[in-house]
Amino acid sequence: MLASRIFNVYVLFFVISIVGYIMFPPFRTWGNATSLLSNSAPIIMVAVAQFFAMLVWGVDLSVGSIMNVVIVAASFLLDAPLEQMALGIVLCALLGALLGLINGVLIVALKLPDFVVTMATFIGFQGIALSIRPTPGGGVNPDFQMFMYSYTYGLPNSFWVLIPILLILAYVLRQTRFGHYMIAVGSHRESSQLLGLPVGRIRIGAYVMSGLCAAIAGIFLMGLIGTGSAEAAAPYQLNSIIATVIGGTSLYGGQGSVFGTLFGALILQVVLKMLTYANLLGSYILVFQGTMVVVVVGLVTLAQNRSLLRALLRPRING
Amino acid sequence: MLLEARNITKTFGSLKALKDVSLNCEAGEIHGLMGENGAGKSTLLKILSGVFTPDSGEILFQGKPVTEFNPKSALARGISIIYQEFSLIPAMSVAENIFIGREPLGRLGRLDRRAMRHDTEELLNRVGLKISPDRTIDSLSVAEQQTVEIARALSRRSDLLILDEPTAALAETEADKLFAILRELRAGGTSIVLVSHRLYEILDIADVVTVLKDGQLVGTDRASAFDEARLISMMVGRDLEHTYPPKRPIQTDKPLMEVKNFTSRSGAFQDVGLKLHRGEILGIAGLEGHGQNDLLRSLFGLEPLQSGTITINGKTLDAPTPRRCISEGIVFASDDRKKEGLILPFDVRENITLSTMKQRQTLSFIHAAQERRLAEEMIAKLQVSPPRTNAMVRFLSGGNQQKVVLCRWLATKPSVLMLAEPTRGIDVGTKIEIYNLLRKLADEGTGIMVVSRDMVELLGLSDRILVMADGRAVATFDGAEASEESIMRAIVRGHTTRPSAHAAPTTTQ
Repeated sequence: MLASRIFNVYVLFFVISIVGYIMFPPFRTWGNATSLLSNSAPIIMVAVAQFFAMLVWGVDLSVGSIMNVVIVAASFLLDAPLEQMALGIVLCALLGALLGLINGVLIVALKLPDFVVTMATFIGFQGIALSIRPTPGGGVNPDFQMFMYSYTYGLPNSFWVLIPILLILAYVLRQTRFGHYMIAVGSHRESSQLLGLPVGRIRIGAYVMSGLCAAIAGIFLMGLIGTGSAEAAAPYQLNSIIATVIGGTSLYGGQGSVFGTLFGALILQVVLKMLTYANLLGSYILVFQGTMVVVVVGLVTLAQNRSLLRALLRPRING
Repeated sequence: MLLEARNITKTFGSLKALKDVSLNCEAGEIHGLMGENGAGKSTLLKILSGVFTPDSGEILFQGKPVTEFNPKSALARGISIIYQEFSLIPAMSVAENIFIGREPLGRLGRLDRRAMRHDTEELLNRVGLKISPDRTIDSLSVAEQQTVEIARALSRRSDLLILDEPTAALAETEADKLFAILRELRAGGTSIVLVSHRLYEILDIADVVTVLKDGQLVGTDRASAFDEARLISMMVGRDLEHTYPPKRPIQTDKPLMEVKNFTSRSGAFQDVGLKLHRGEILGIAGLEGHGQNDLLRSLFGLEPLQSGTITINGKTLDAPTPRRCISEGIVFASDDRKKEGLILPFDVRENITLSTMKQRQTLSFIHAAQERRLAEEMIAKLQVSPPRTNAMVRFLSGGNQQKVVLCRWLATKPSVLMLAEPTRGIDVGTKIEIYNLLRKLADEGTGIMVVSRDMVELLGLSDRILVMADGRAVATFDGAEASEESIMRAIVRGHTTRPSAHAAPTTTQ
């Protein structure tokens, strides 16, 4: 069942790419395809961040703010010679993990609903970012930005960095005890408790993963924009949820995959690109995005709830 | 002595679930734990397995006092429990479920799936289950899932295995297989605490039997010292005649409500037909989860139908919804009072008047005085305690909450009252009040349908009993002729013969 859903994500990506190829001539150049890919690293990572929260039947509404805090921090830490910058990247990643830890601890220790806590921290973290950089400023080591915009073997460098990160995350999810427990806790929290799994710690761990991934997304984004803007990542908040759901993550926890999420993010990116090619006004794109959320979530929920789907498809005898 | 539980007491709010209960279990003993629903068996099991902490009393396991109460430390101590609702992760494989919490790890923290699979195959062999370790749990039958739970307990080398009604959802041959495994475990020195409602099973397999009633210990003895009659009288602790109000003959010429070809869309029940007469209490019996509750829910329009019609007052409903049902006088009191029966933030008056508010409003303004009068009248009629209209329902006892639910429905003056588990979690005194109330309503002409897990209750209360198995109506009995044994036989027969064999869905015996 899981395999078939991921398969669907691939098929969907394929279909949408073909549609884009036929409808919009600019899609037909290799350069455009790879530039799309080079811009996709932040959305992919933030979708994976969201994926970890949703995997344990939660949601992280603060990933966009975590990205912003990290971007602001990066605008101080990454504007430095190469060795110091490397240390700065590690610090930025740890900062994201720390913010995720705050989310997780608040949710588990205070027994508050995930969305309430992360909505509160969404506001709070955003406030931190804005108080440090009320107006955009700072920057990154130009070599770093250069690296992010360059290509190796025909593909953007950010992509070559991204792939090993995703492979490691997929390994953690599928091959380690921690990943295994996240799936168990996400799909059946009560049973997991009865089985003696450390449910609270696993949920906190998932939010730490979420914060860490959001931080990596922030670093990628910083590499693209080059200035510390405390509001740069605002659109990523909602998009992270859309991409994760398209990628086949269950809204009820316990199901999904890192690479499904990758393709969910790519699909979203391609669709948004098509909308700009279609010369839609920005405000219409927002309307479209909102509609897409409802349609996608509706379709995914239907597909996951097989019995409901069967019931809807089956003709009623006594209607 | 492997396990000694001494003077255990546990209270939930106003409900005393266990009072001063003791239980001893030797190594290599099968200990049968019996009692009616609500006798405190599940509470005791959950204390042993670390889900609940007792208010007072002490537990010695292998001679050492137990101080930490949580599932993890109970498992570490060597106590495994298999609940009626299994604690398996449906989306994971058999091997992953068996080793959850104790996965063997290879290098780089990698799960050693090969070792898990290998050990699982061995365990499955031991319990005689011929399936692949890679099958996911949701692809297994109930009996197979249960065997996986047992294999998991085996792999933990548990000294004490607790089973809560393991045979409730099993067919007879599957139950026999289970008992063979349990006997083998006993021979290997494992102790087993077994809860079952089936007397013959307990007498057959247990070495020692303990009976609980209303949270208290009634007695413990060697199984050979019991027979069914003695067990029943200990469990019930009272004569049926005194608990249940007398029945009167029912006029059966013209049915009040007729249900035809009811088939649920989810497959929970198929092709059920029944008739309900004025003044009749119709009990619906069956093992848990065989469609009884779903039937009532669908009759009230809570779950979608594939097909079927309800005829009442000369009208035919083919797509019932709660609103339509209420306007035709059909009401339903769910077994989940807190979720589906009451609005918890409301007080007693608001809960009672909710469904009939429309009759007393003017331009959507509520008549406060009329509301209060109705609530007071109903509270007095059903003797809700405390008798205050502004008491918050969330603080009432289970029995009084149930009365408030009934108050509300009776205010609609229903002609058909359907109840699921009407006395679940309710103390004996209030139970008897509710039995008397239901009989009084029936005598006034209401048709009543009751689903209950408590067979004794169904027998005592019902004028007629419809038996369901695998979602089909397999038999109906006259209340006076039915017995636990005859119902159980009908259930077992309903299981073993395939559904197509029933030409007529309801056969009167």
